Amino acid sequence: MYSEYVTENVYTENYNPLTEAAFISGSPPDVCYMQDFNRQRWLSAGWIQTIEDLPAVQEHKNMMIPTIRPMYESAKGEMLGMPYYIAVQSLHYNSKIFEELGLTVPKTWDDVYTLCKEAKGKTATWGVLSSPFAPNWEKDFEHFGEFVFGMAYTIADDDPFFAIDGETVTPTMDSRAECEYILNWCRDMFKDGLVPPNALTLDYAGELAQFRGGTSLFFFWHHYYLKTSNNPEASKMAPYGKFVPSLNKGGTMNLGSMYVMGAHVKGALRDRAANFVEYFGGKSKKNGEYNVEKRWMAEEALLSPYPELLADPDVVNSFNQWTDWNVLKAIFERSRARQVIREPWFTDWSVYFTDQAHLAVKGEIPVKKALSLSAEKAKEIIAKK
Amino acid sequence: MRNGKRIPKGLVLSLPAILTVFSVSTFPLLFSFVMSFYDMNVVARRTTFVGLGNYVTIFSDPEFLRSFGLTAYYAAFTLGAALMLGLGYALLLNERFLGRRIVMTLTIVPWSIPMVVTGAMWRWILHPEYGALDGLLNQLGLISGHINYFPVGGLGCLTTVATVQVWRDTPLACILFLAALQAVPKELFDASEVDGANTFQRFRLITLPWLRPAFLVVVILLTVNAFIQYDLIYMLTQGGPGFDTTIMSWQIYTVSFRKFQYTVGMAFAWILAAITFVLSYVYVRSLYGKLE
Repeated sequence: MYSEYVTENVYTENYNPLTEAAFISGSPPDVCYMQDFNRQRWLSAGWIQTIEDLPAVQEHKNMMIPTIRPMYESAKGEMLGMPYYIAVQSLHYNSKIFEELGLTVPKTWDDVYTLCKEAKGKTATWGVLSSPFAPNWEKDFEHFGEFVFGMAYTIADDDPFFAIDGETVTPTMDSRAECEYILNWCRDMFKDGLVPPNALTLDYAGELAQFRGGTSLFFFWHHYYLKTSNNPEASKMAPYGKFVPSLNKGGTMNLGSMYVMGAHVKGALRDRAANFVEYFGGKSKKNGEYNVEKRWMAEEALLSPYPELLADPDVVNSFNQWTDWNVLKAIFERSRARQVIREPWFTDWSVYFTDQAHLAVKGEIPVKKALSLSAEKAKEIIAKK
Repeated sequence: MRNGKRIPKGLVLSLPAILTVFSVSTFPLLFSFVMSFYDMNVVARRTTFVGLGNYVTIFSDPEFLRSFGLTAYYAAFTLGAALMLGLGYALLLNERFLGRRIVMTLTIVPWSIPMVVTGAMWRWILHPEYGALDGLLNQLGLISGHINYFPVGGLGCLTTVATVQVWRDTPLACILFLAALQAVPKELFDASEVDGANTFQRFRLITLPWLRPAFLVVVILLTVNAFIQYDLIYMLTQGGPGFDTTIMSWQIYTVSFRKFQYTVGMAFAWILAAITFVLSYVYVRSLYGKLE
């Protein structure tokens, strides 16, 4: 399939620490994938390089949906990588249970809470709905953060956690009502037993199992697992998993990964690496096809920033096996990436925030305190920078 | 050799092993100790000598005391339970009964499963809606509905993780005790019977003293296992909910690989190593002292 030699590390667990270890120890991969929240950290550390100067990158940049393109750019707007996948943070619901219980698709997060309250304890096709909402709130890296930010982007047009003006980042979470609303909502869902009792430790696979098993009304996470949750061979409730088209203001967050090049890659190796990232993340000049990118879409139901692929009949037909493509496409087109994850200190803050959010949800500290502590922490980290 | 001195053949033959151990074990250990006195900022590409700064940071963090307390509870629970169960099993398996060999083989199975696999397996066994344990208890009519094995607040969640560790550690204790039990000279029991000792006296005055070396090994191994426990926390709770299961080893992981404060993590790891060293020393002194 691919004949040129470049090295890429493949780790199935602990990807970020292991890849960082490879960079620090002086045995970096020539190319690797990178999650969007690591981009500025890896660039600032001198582990990866920008690929803005590659002619093929310029071509691909112009081919991307303009609102999605920032996902692949550094804080200075230079292209850092080529697309691996994008997913949209979205609310999935079990349409069969909705029909059985006579429920209406929610339009706000308050509706979601009310519907969960109404459905709790009722019996549907697949069993009792003991915890109608399957969240992903465990402390595993960034999962709780993705949930909270994903929710925030549906109820605010901007980012209520951070105000970003050029290079100035100001934490605003302690003064924005939306942030308080989100954590209060999570706390109420937890307190009222509308999420699993061990929601704060249950991993995504456990939550997904609950949704696939048909005992949850809702599942809120990025759509990476759409194929798993709506595949009759892997899911009890398939094909009844659907997307709530929009909530509150209708926006949502997108997130994903990209193929990047190690900073050490130069000369002939750089030419080979450029071919590799182009082959995997774009339209290859070797055969004029979106080789890997199209397969991710058609076979794994992941998204891509290229409008040409979004309109490709093979892709559209494939997506329609798993969901209503037009609904997902509309959600995707309204989605936006987080700007704050371009900050090299973001991961450090995110760990702290998750701890405080956990304490607030379990009722150990008030929501306001969790937010003010998180804002103070952000200020402290930014000042150190 | 030209000067008449010969390099011992044993040293030459051992050299590859010595070099390997030095490069993959001794050197990283020494390096991490040295680096624990530095602040390493990989993003700014700056390494600064901070003396005891990292250690001060750790000891002045209120989370340190909390994680130390949780670790002590975790170690005490796993050690106490695995010791009692392991000894009980060993005494049982020391008797002759039909199917003893099969039971012995099955007993060792939990210990032979890698810790990460153990964690993944128990994650599903304890799943709040699809867990095998709840399924079994429901089928037996012992419960109706589901049990939350990971309760929020207090020590409940950590006790669940510790129980899984006991499940895995008990076979190790059992096998070590069993080996020691099988070495007890039968004549001692025969003589004590003649002297009129009852079963409890024979256990207290012959069996237990004979088990003391095995006891020492088990106590040290299980304590160290508990203090360095990471896999089960990773697979079952990720240190949550809140800080309920954030024991010291998990905090080291969080500091090093989530906050990426590598040298603070190294200092933390050395504190943990020092604690396990002191505990091991106390065990050896108190148990071996009596042996001598």
